[in-house]
Amino acid sequence: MIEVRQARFAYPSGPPVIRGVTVSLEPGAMAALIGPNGCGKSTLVRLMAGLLKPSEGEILLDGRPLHLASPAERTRKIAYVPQGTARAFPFTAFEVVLTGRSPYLSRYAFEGRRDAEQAMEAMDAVGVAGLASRRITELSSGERQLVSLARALAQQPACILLDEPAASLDLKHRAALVRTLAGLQARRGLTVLLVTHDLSMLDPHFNVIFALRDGAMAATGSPREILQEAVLAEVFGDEHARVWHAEGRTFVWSEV
Amino acid sequence: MAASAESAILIPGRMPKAVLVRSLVILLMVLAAATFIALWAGYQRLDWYTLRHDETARAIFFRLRLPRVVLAGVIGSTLALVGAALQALFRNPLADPFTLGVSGGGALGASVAIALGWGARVAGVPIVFLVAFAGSAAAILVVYNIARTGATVAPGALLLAGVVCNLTAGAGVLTIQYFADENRGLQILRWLIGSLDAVGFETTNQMLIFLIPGWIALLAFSRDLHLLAMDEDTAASLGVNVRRSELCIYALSSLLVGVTVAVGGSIGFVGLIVPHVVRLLFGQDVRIVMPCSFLLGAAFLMLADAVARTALGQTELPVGAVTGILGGPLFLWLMRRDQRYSAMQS
Repeated sequence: MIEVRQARFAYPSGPPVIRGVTVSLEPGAMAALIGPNGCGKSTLVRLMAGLLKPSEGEILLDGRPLHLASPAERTRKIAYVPQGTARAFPFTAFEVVLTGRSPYLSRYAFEGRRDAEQAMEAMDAVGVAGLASRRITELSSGERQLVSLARALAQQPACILLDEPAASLDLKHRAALVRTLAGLQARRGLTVLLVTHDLSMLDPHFNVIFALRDGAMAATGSPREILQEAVLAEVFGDEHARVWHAEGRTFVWSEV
Repeated sequence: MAASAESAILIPGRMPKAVLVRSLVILLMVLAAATFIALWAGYQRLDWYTLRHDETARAIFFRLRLPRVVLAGVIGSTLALVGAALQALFRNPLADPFTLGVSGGGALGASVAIALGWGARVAGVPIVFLVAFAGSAAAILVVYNIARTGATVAPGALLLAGVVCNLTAGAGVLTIQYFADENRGLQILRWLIGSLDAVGFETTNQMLIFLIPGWIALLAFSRDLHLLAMDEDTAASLGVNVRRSELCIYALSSLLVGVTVAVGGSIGFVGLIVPHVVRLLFGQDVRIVMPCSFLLGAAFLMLADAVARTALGQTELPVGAVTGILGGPLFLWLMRRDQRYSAMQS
């Protein structure tokens, strides 16, 4: 689906953030991107979404260079959910989700009834249909995050990239998020890449984990391979990392 | 758009296109009414009978009042349209050509041109227009570069930089006025407050050569601005070429504001008041706010100018004073309200 080959990237007048990363996101994968704060996870996801261009190396979308894809082609295939969203204007949640339809519309066309229905379906899938006419300025950050996810789903993408979507979600919604994404992956073959710090939510729903450290790929593998004390100690530089398998899941914490 | 009867999904509210059509119809009627009132109002009362039979009344109407009302409409619609665009671009409901220093930059450019007596034209274009455009563009670049840190534009810093830019430009205008000869100094004074003294149709026509393509081009960015108003990263992930759109919108805004400032002076807050009223009436969708601000801006400045002409009897108030008295308090009120939404946080 998306292939990153020896990509390098630095922000203007800054040190290199991504230092030769190679990653292959297979179609239908349910992937997680983990790593310590500031290791370049968000930058890597933004590169993969086509928001940034690597200074070296290349990024391929279905085998073709991503920067050669037309905006319509790219945005119909890849949806991106940023970490937080601006809320300068009190748009309704429905208006926000409706913008997810713009890759399918010409520059001057307005959304039709069919687009509106798809937007509502996306809101329903994430469980925020009830918030449709609420203003985003009045929503909690967790609710806004879900609205942002619904907007990405309204894009009907083949691949969805999420930058720490779980950060401001409560227990119930965090589980619901993983359930929704796993369901879409199973039913529609949606490719998912999710950045997260919550390592306990990865096993068994995710099938591949990319561990990033200092802008380079430190480890890649299944949750059982990556979620091991030795690997986590290496990736996070934390010898207090502990792992516990129970009820078919893997729990991860760091000893205080 | 045909509603299917079996559709079980409830769509909240009206569809954007229906809202656009309805609001444009309403605002066209408002504009027609405003034009009528503005043409009728004035120290010299004009009615249908005197217009038909009195030579002086006809002269007043066609030589003074009609050009002035048209100019007010043209300037009002331009400032309101640019205000709506800048607010969406900076995701800041307090942005406006005046608060971002764009008007100030244009005024400084215009007064330099007047003081140096550059009444000439280059290829039919008054040099004042070009210098004012350059001043506006310089101001927007300075303000933007100060407020931008990495990927984010700090809303507080943006407004502060804009206001200081306006003050500095104002001081520059005063200095130039002080050194310029009396006649030109008086001319420059107009730019300080903004006025729509009778200029005749010739100037308006010259303005329209720049303004009409500028209006169309800026309106063409409505969709991009709608997405940018939500969030920059989201807009980029939906296919907006953020850097290119930003650059075009800056250039168009500077051109439009520069040309209006060169003729009408820096009339403040029109770009703040009008889009705000439009959003209150017709919602937040920028694709609706842009064309509606255009129409309402024309109506608003026509009426504000009618007030300026009639409020003090025979003495005229500069129209910039009227918009300033209305706009200043609104700005402060919006600022207080938006602190609740943390829109002002840097």
